[in-house]
Order: sequence, then C-alpha cells, then structure tokens
Amino acid sequence: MTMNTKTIRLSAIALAIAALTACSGPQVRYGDAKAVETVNADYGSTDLQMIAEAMTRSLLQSKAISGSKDAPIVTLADVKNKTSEYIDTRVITDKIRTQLMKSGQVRFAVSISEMQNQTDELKRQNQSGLYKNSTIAKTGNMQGAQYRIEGSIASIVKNTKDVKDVYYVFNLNLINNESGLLEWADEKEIRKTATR
Amino acid sequence: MRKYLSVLIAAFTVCTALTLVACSSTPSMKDMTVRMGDTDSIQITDMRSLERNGVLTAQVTIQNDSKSNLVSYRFKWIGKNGMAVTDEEPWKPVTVGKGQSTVIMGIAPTPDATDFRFELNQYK
Repeated sequence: MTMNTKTIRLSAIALAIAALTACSGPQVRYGDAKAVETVNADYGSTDLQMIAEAMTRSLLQSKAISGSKDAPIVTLADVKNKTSEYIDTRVITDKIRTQLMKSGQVRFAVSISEMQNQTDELKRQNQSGLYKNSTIAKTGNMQGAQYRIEGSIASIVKNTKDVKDVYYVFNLNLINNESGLLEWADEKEIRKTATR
Repeated sequence: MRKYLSVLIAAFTVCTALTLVACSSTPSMKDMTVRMGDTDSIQITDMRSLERNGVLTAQVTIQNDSKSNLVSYRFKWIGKNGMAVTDEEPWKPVTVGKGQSTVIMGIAPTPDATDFRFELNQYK
C-alpha cells in the first residue's frame, strides 16, 4: 500500500517536471537590428545595410542631386542579381529609396513594379463613375522621372575544406532618362571569410 | 602709467576670452569619439570634416596598435541644437591588422547635419 502511494507520488512529481519543461519553450530575446551579423558568410543584414547606406550617401553628394534647384524626380529600375545566392535586390533598392526620400533631396516616381497599382487606381476613379468629379485624380498628369536608378550585384565565392571566402560587389548607376547619360555611378565592395 | 596698465589688463582679458571661445568651439578628437566595449587597441590618429556639395563629409584615420581586433564603427550626425538628424546608423565592421591604419569616410544623410560624433564598438 505504502509502496503504491510512493510510486504514485514519484510519478506525479516526474509528470509535473515534464510538464514544466515542455512549457518553458525556447528563450526569446530582441536583438539590435543595427548590430554586425556574423552568423555565416552568406549575404546578410549587415551587407544590406552597408550597401544601402554607402550608395545613398554617395548619391546624395553627387552633382546630379545636390546641384539641382528642385529635388529631381527619380524612378527605380531593377538591380540584377548576378550572384549564385538568392538575394532580394528589391529590398536593397527600397532601402536606398527610403533613405533618399528621408533626406528630402530626391522625389520618386512610381517604378515599373508599382505601375499596375497606379493605373488600377486611376482607372477606378475615372471609369467607375462612382466618384465626385471634382475629387477625381485626372489621367494624363503623372510626372515622368528625370533619372532612373539601376545596377547589379555580383559575387566571387571560393571554398576550401576549412575556409569560405565571399566577395560581393554592388554597382549602382544614375541614368538621365532623356539624354541616356550616366550621371553618377558608385560601387561597394564587401569581403567576408568564414573559417572553421 | 596706470592707464597703460589698465589697457594692458583689458587686452589680456580679451585675448584669454578669445582663446577660451576658440577652444570650446573645436572639441578634441577624444571628445568626438564614443567608445563601447573593448576598443582600447584602436587609436584615432586624425579626424577632419568638410562640406562637399552641401553635405558634411567626415574623415577619420584609425590605427591598430595591438593584436588584430574586430571593431565596428558608425557616425552620429548632429544638426541644430545637438539633435541627431536621423535615427542611428548600422554598425559597420572594419578590419585593421596589427600596426596598420585605415581611413574611414562618412557622408551625412541630410544637408542638415552640421557636426558629427564617431562611435567605435567591438563585435562578436
């Protein structure tokens, strides 16, 4: 009888411990989004931040932007990913665009990828017949961009048994849409080495 | 004689005041550097700034005196009334081998920046 009680007590304690362990789960904490990330040698958040910052600052100082009276209108073209990795290049250009917008030195026209939403909205307002005439956004008033931003990211990766060396080069150009002239260009190089 | 003496004293006072004003308007490299973590092996040997095309540009030369160190840096751009012009920059890693020096360039994010601070941090 006493043996049975003991067994029941022990199994109850074991169950409680098991339940507590199961409930505790993984430890979660917030980190610094601006900190240097060195988890592995693949393209990471620090690379994205460094590329966007270097390009934005250099572009802001260019004669094409700083020399113009009014903030010039610019549009985003594509950045080609020539690396072997999957890199969302749109995130890089969006980050550059946000930082340029915050500087107040540049205005942006909708890019090709955002054009569908823009035309859809104009059609909705003009063709549905649902809106008051005086409040409708008229067609034919969109502003064309003076410049477009385009570029590429390429990489060279070398591996041995113990070492992985990655070199990224990000290239960005500002092209005058009317003249076709390259008004500004800059590049950012990054080298990362992972050793075992 | 007394008149000359008072003129001399006045001139000396004005000179001292001018020197003090000049000193207070140009903070030292140490004052302009913010260190976090273990960055003692990194020395700042030169610091200068210039307005280029309407945007403040800073140049800092750092030197590593001891063992190879993993340090990161960022600039803090300051505008009117000592307010930061944008939110904090990301930390950027910089590799400086033992006995080597490197020049770091920084460009302000907006033309509103009139001053800067150089922040050093270790990473990992």
